[in-house]
Amino acid sequence: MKIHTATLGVVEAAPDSFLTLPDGLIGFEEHKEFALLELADYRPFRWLQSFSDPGLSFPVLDPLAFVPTYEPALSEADRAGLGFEPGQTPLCYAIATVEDSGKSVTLNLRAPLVVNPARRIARQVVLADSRWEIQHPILEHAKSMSPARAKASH
Amino acid sequence: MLVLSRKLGENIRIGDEIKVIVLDVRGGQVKLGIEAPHSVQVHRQEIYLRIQEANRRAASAPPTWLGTASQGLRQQGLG
Repeated sequence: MKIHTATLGVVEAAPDSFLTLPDGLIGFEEHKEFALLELADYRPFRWLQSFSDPGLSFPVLDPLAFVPTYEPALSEADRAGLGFEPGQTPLCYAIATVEDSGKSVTLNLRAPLVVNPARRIARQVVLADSRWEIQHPILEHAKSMSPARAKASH
Repeated sequence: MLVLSRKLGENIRIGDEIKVIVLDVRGGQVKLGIEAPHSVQVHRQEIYLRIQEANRRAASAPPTWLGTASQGLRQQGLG
């Protein structure tokens, strides 16, 4: 199926890339139907592209590729809301904020996009654990940034 | 705005399915328990606003920036 995007033109989206977000994303509650696109030129990013608004897309990344210790603890309510059966493993993506002309990237680890791959539904879950930052830096403009300063900016 | 006074242990009902309980009041801080259906998301206001802002900023990155960032990540072996 072809999907219109403002940023990438018309791209082909396979049905297994479709995702329904019954609550939308926080601040974008009216958009519920998306495709999760993979485009070679933008690897490792994926694009969460709205079906209803070609101009609305969110770059996402696999948080475990950047933060191997990442372990989002979902509440029972979150699991139930996504229709998980006991023992089913959720799929997690972190929404990425790209700034400074692409030289800086942060991940939202506090509110990941949690996917139930069997049902193709997803929800932006706000984790209770404040250890996970809303803006976790993974690519920084000043590569010489000292560990002390990097820590202070968290 | 509706304003209600509640004592420790007392509740507020919102519709049929939402219950807010005053669990503790201490030193200017109120601890609330909230019972709501799974479909109702409950957030602390300040966290909600910060996530909303992060989502807005994430949605506004031009593709050229994404291209630069994806190259940067791949160069660092993170892609």
